[in-house]
Amino acid sequence: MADALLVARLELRRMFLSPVSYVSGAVLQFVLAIVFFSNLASFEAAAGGVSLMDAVVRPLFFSAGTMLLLAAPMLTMHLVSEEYRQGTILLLLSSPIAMTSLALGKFLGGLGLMLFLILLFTMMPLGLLLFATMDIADLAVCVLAATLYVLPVTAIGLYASSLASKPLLAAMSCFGMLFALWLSDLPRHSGQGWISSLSDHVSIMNHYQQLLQGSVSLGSVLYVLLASLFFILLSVRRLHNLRTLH
Amino acid sequence: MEGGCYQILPAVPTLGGGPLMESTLRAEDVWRNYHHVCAVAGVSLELGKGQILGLLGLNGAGKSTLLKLVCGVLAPHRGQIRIAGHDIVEEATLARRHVGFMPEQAPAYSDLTVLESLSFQARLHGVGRQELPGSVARACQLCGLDDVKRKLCGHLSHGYRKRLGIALALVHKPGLLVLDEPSSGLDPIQIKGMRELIRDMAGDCAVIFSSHVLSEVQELCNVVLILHKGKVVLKQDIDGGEGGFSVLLDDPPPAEQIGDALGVDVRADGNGRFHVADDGSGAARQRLLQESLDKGWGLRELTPQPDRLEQTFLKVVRDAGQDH
Repeated sequence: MADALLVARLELRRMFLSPVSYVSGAVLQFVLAIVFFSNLASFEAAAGGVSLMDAVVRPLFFSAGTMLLLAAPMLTMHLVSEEYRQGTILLLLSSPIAMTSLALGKFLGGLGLMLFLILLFTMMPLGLLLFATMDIADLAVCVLAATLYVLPVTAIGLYASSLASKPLLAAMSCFGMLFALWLSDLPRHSGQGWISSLSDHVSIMNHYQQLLQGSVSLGSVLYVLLASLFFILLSVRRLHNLRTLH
Repeated sequence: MEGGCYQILPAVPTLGGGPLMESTLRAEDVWRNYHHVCAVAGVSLELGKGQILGLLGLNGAGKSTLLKLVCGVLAPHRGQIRIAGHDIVEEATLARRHVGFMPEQAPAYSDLTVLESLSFQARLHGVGRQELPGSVARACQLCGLDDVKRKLCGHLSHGYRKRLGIALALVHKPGLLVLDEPSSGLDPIQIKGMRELIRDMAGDCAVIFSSHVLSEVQELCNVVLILHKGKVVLKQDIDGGEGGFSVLLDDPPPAEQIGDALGVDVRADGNGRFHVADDGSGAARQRLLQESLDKGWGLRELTPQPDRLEQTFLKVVRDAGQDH
């Protein structure tokens, strides 16, 4: 675990040295600020009947979920593929670190950046506390939902990054996988029967929405944890294969 | 093959190179395929502290693959590699703690400073927080990186990049230093510095490196291994007696007398011709000229010893090529 934390610290530091993180973060924050103020204006114009949480905060977090799906490929593409590109993977492979620790460290580093972005846009609803009353527990649930949501997103980014030696290829692979996960939400709205039921279980947006509503079900928590674990294990396997295959 | 110093090995060799105090590296019958081609075929070798092994071979002979196997980057498909007594596959963590590896391109994190890169590498190899500053400072000082230690690795010149590569390999004081073409792309001054560094390092650990420069291998190594198509085709112990020259004297004294006068080994080859061992400094040649004038030996001819390693290399590779 100490090795994983060492790698995570380095990864986080390198992410904050990269302009990609700053540009992605700035664009995310800018778009979400527009969503936030737009929702706020609608809330003020409405006569009432809807809480601030339902009118402004939850829609903001839901939009953030979609935006994070789009930003994740850019934010995670460097995690492992940059090691291939620079050749530093050879230093890691010849070091005593276990591939599990390496993958976990990379995952935690990527997760750290995601959590930082969540913290940034959470500042907007937090700022509302200066002017309005809001249930802080509801906001905490939204933050928890977003935190759980980025776990599998980061894990998918890590796996995609471990597949390609070119960061752009990694980003495209990650985008493809996340887009497929996002698309799996569609049958839920249009169809009935087993397809709709399957979509209920598979759709990451469905689980995120449920978590945002405050219904923290065991199924949703298991979904994000198992999906994260699955892609981390795939990454470990991929890294391990670097030694044994070819 | 002359002189008995070279021997073509008929099968899988076990390296000698003098008596070993303890084996830092022991590889037994190691095989590895790479992209469906047999890159390393039944290589066995043994190396102890203080020894320097030079790996020679044509491009694609399997040198880099063998080095990657030795330091655990690749796992052998067959055979066993032990570093400081630990199996590189079964006890990977323990074994790799004792290895320092510099790949050919000397990679480093371009967005980190030299100090940050060294610190990370040291911590990764288990150097404790308290020893960390000392280890990093030692590596910087040994590799001449003090002037650039706060620079980003991406801003270093090629020469400094290579030095950093070595520093990254030795920052945790490994028992085995593995260097893939350490002097490629360096200018003559940098090559000289690199050789001195490798020689200094060999005092504390075993060193194995690949090179295309035969003179470099001859100058630095105790043992030379020539690979061809993944197989060891020659093992050579370099005993320091490879340099020298031959002389033809009109009025020669006995070989022992010449040897006493020059302070080096002298062997009579007949008909007034002698082989004089030289340490490469040229001092024996100077003394011979002086003694020949003073004592009237009648020096008629002085011929430098032909580069036997080069001849041997070309011969064994040619022979091995014909065999295949």
